[in-house]
Amino acid sequence: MSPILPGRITPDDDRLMEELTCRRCATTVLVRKNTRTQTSIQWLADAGETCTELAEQRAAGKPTGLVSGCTALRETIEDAVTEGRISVLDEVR
Amino acid sequence: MTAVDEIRSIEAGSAPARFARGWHCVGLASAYRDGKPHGLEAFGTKIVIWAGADGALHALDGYCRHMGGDLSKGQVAGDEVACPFHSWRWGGDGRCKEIPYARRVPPRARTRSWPVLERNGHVFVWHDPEGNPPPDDVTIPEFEGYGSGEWTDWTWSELLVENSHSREIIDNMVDMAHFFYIHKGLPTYFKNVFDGHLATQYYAGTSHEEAATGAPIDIGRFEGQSTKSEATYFGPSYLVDWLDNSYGSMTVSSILITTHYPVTATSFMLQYGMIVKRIPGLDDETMATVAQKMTAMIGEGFLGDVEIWKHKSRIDNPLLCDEDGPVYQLRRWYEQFYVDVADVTPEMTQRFEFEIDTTRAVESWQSELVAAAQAGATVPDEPTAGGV
Ligand code: FES
Ligand SMILES: [Fe+2]
Repeated sequence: MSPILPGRITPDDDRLMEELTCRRCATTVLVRKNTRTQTSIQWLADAGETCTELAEQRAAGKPTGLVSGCTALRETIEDAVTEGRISVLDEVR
Repeated sequence: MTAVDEIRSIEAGSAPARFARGWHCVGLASAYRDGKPHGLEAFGTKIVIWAGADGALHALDGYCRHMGGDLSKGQVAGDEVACPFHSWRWGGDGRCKEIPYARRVPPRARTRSWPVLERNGHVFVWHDPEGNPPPDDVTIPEFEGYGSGEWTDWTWSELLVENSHSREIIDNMVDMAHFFYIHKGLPTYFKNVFDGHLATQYYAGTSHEEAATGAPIDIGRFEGQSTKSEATYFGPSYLVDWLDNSYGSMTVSSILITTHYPVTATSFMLQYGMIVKRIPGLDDETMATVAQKMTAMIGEGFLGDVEIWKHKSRIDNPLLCDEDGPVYQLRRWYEQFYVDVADVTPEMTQRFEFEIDTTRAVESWQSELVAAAQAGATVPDEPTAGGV
């Protein structure tokens, strides 16, 4: 089966994900945004250990796989988009 | 010739010869409690499952190690299963406990036993090609309020899918667009999260009927749509969908299970059923009818999937557009169940999130539906099979 290379969404798509560090827990993830609404996030470690919010959920007995996302990371991404540190691919085309 | 001029080829690959590691649901516990042993064609072999006199469920290799008798054609004797051929008595631990006509049991009289779990009224069998017991953190969650009378009884149906691998049904987890074309749904919010041995789909949407009126659709929000579904695979095959459907001011909350076990390397048994949360003021019979009707509609939806699987090519190199979900990452997640535990890579289990922008899809589908309605077409209104 075709492997996915680091930073890629599909083998046919060379628009790479970019590194971003969460302002709350300092976890670094890979992010790509095709549009303002679309978001891809690749975590690079056990999210339930490195992310404060997900760790709280896990400690409360909820598997991190049942948590839809971290609000601090989402805000970090939104700010990074506003400040131009993460590009929205649809808008640079 | 540049890449864009090249003809794209399908890499079909081949289905894995081994079966997934994990808990596999094999049906309702009540079905196994009829005092008889049950045969199950699964994992390329035959398994016998029975409930002992003490009520505990057991699973063994189906063929007796004495002379090969089919244990599922035998009888339950106390806590053991008695072979129909010479009545050797096999215990749930895989050991022969007694041979009624013999002074002693040969020391090697031991067969394969399969770990069994009973949860929420379902029976699960643990399969691991390496023969290890299930780890504590790989389990099936208990449903809140199950058994308290808050929910209806399970509906349950099964459907044998031949000449197909279960990867097809897993793929549907991320396949936003097929919910429109196959299940007559209209997804307005669609997100996937893969994390550890869980894979989740968040789906919210409206119906074709509603969209066809041309009324504005609230795009990109999980809350507030007529269908709201959170569907999670706990391991390779057991999909739990917490599903809310609103009809006007009434919301029907249900838990829909879609699960499968492999029969051979190229066929699998798809099973589905649901429990519905009792609605105050509605009697048991009405509630049961609601559950049956919804299950029947969901079953019809699966037939749409099966029809596609029957005719499609296996494809290892799908070509995706931005409105498609993360097929490659989902398959990477699924791969963890097909390799030895020592070969599970961090990439297979590390969290990955993917939210689709449904704006373009919804606009295009709504205008298609509005045009069809104006041309006099009847617009179907069915609930969708969440996750699948
Ligand atoms: S084959 Fe089973 S008891 Fe003889
Ligand atoms: Fe489907």
